[in-house]
Amino acid sequence: MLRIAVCDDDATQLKKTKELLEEYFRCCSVTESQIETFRSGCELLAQTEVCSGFDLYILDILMPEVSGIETGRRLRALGGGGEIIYLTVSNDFAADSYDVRAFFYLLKPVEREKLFQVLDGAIEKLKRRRNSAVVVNTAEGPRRILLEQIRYVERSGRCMRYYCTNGTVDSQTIRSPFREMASPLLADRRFCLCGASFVLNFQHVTGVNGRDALLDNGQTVTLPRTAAADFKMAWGNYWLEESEQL
Amino acid sequence: MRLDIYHTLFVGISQVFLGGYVMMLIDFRRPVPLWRKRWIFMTVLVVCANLIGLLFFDFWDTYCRVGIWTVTLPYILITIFCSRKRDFRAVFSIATGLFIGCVGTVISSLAEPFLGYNEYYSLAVRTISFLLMFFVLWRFRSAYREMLVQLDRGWGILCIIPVVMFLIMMYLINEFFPVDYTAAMMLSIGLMAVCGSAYYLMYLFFEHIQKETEANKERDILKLQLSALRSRTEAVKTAENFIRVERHDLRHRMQAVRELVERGDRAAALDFLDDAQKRLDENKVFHWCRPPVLDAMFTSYFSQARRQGIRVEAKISLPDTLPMEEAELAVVLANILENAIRANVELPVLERKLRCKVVGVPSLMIEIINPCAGQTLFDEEGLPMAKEQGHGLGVQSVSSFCRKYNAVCRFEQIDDCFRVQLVL
Repeated sequence: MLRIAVCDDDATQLKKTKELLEEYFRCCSVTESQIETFRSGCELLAQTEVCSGFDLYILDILMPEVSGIETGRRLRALGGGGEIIYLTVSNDFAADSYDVRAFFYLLKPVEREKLFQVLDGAIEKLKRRRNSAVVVNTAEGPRRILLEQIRYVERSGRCMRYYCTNGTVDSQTIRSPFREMASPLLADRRFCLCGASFVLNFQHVTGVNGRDALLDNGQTVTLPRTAAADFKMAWGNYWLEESEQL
Repeated sequence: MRLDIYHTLFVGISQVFLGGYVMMLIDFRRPVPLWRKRWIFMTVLVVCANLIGLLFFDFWDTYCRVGIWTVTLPYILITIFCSRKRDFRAVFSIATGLFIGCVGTVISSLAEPFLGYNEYYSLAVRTISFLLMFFVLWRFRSAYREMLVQLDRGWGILCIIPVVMFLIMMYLINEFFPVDYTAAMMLSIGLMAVCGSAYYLMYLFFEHIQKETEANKERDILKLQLSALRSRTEAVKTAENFIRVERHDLRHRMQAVRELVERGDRAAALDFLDDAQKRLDENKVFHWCRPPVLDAMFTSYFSQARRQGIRVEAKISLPDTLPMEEAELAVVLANILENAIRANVELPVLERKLRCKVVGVPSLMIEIINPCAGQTLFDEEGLPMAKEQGHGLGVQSVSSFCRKYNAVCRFEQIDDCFRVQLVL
């Protein structure tokens, strides 16, 4: 089930956008959807805080009080992910939209085909990120962990410890080298092997200062001295490639 | 077997301090920790071999004659091998270390008559003088290290002072002191005074060069800020003029639309409004980012690139607040873009392209890609080497920016494409 939020201060535009979305999900997509509409950025933000966010946000930019760009910034600050598509009459804010890592930026009046194409891309990206997972053999049995929830993995004694956004998961004793056990993670470009017993998720690294990698939960991970500079470069490269999505 | 403890201590303490001086002054090859360890290992090996000879095999008399071959020369060769710049810079650093050692020796020789020519008191004074010299060197160390990087020429001439000084001191200490202590002492003090003054003048010269470099950097930043302000002022003036004209015309246009609507000519009225909208859109100024100096810099360089027939693909996403002075970042980016445009201009028009990506989240990251002709040479640190005198300043500015803000940068050439990446 895909949860979508549409936000526009203009009731006519809001209705039109909702209709286009309903048409899209009726005929072009197999995914089920739930579309909610909001007349202001404040309303949307309030609801996001309550329901822990939406999968897709379609925002107008020029709105009174809180603009679409500012709404996007505050949504990012709340966390929870989700793709943002901007619809607007004015391209004066082209420079600003990149700040919030929006998926796309469409000028009104929106062409149906163009919107549907962008929706295809956004949903594909969401599915890829949300469904990518790894199965870990734990003492309680196999457990499926979404890749986007893993902050980092390290070798802990003879098992692998997965530090996730919702807790820590320890695997059973591993019989192969750490790098081999981590290969399903390393196949995803978000993950990077650092030294011999650390794998970090670039998406959860907010900064690298010398040998310390700062994570989005405030935790610091000390990197091996010889690998720190290369890790920082790889982290930067990842985010530079992510910006290709725009 | 008689153990020559005094001479072993004498040479051991001297070599430890001399080694310390040289280690402080040398710019080691990369990676620095590895090459420093190698240098320490090799020099300790050489010195220990001599110390064993002194302690167990009564080597002192031979050492006085051949010490320059058994210790000093291997020392020099090992140090040059482990230095990043194996030119007169390394020779100057070694010679300076040896000169500092000579100063310590002369001070202890001066004190000898007052200590009753007691060997061990003399050794203690020698150790204290070496320690004093160590602190003096520590004080000037960072200025010296900066000059090793910034000053490209003239090291050969500068070397003459400490090298000649050291050779004369060696002659005085070994041949002249035993013959005429007073004359040798006066000569030594005179020589050291001259050499010390020369070093102080060199320090002033280095300081002057550094101030000039800083001033040049500041001047570049100010020039850029001024140019950005000028562009902004021009843009504002143009916008103001446009608004003035539009306000004047608006009244007439609204009157014209009113008449068309009253006549029932809906199509003509809509066409008229479309034209008016188009006029508004044509006069909009495109902004690359909100920080104004950077915005003006991007506008200027991308326009320059387009005028040269270079296809520009740019994605700029910068926050309002930056972790450094806006103008400082603008200078670094301007340098990289200028190099990229220069490289493009050497190619046929159809091949010219410039890709520029700047993201601000989660940290400031920059990537600039351009095609290039020929093969770029890189030095040990992975920095492109300047082809001509006066070039390479862009790379230097990126390098010093990264040092200042703990950023990492990477320059690489993949086939015909040159890429610069910078991550804060």
